[in-house]
Amino acid sequence: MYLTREEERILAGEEGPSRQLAMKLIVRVGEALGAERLVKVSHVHVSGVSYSNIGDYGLEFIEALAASGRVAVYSTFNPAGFPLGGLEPPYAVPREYVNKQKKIIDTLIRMGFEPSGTCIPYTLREPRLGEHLAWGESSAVAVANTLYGARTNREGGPVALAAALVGRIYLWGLHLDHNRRPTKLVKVGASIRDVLTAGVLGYIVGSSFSGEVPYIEVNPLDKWQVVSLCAAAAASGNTAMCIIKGISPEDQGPPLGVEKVAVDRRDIEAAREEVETASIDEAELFFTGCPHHPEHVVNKILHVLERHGVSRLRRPIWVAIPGSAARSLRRAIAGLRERGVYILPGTCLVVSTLSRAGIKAIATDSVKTAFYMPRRHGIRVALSFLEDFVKKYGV
Amino acid sequence: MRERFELRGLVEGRAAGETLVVRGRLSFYGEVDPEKGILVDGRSIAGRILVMEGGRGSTVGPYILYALSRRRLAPSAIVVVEAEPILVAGAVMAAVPLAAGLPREVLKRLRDGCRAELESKPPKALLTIECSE
Repeated sequence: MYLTREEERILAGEEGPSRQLAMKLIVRVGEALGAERLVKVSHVHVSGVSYSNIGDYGLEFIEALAASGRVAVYSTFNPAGFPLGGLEPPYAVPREYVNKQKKIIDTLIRMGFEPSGTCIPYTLREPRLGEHLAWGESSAVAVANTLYGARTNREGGPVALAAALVGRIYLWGLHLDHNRRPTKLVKVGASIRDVLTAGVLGYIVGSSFSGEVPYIEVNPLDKWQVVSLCAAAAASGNTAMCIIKGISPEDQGPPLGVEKVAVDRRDIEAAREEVETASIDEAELFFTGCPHHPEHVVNKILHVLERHGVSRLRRPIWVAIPGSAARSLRRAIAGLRERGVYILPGTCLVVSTLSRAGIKAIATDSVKTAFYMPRRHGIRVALSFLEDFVKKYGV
Repeated sequence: MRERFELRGLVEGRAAGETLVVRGRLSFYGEVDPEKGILVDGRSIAGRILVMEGGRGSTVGPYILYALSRRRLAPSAIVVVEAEPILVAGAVMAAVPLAAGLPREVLKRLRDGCRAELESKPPKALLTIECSE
């Protein structure tokens, strides 16, 4: 692999043992993949920071890196296994787990990571067209490539950590023009008008065209519908990028000479039935925020409660938002809690200890959640809208 | 019989030891005990030349290999038919020499306890194996 003089210096250990190890990791993995050189990245986002995922051994590695390493570029990290900001979670989290998780986060912050705790890093720093990134978190990767036209592969835990320390990643995969061209044409006959249905479409895209770059011809979608589609596709398949007609900055019109696939209303209905494993009557709570909601979701929820004259909920609503929003929303969070709305900053139910909480069924508007809950936590899932849940369980 | 193989060096280093053969793909996460350095079938990988098809599975795998090396329980080298990025990352983190390109038919007939030596200098590596009758 070709290395610049500066990269050679880091590899030789002249910027300390942590950067040396990080550079070696990137170079060796890049060589194995056949990359010819490295590329500088402007934002690193690390997934695999939940104690449920990486355990003691992941913590051990992060601590060893932190002993002599600091980030070389703007770096953020994914949600943790329980809510951040000192709030008591609405489900039991073992004390030992809390301590270990805090240690992981403190170590990252000591290394210079932005105290982020979110799976929507694009709201903290908006990626630019053509910019190179090194991101973990499959949903964010798909959003970066699809919605922003920025370039990143799905980088696993240690590789993304290493990229944060040296500010570079191997020039390979979706960093290269020729891998970003659509390889399938998906014509959507059904109308996609909400995040839930967009998620169901994403589920179809991921499970049918894993590892492809599908071109999706669909009615205009808003940002959060695109996010929902990307998250579901990245969960049900290896999807790291789509081109969405009229939305993706790299859209150059429908591709020629690729396989065409039609998705109609019946396909959407069938996929929804496949993902949905419970009814709203069985749901013990409503969960929304996978991927995270930006913090202004709090106002939206207040409006919904007001519109239906609801002072309190008989079954709670849980809302996941970025960890960085915990402080500014402190008062609103306390007020909502009394009404049965639990704001959960900086956490993700997928990587939580929820399987030990004795919950059997939930409702959600997130297809990604509906995909993972039965697999990870043995929890069945109803697909519904927050507003319908408020109408049903509000008093 | 003494055999020599020119392989693809992926992570540098030199090691000698007894072979430990895994015919399929190994996931360090879930299939190796990080505190004891043993496989689910009870064989120890500590200090051995681990010869296998390749790695597979979870991105947590590299952390396990790293933990093994800190406890001096890691294999002294890894030789595979095919390497994927996760395994390369783990080998770098654990400073375990790694080479790929072992012919599949060799993996099929190789057994545990042969004397092996690997010298890996990316992009090349040299493996010698000597099995007593």
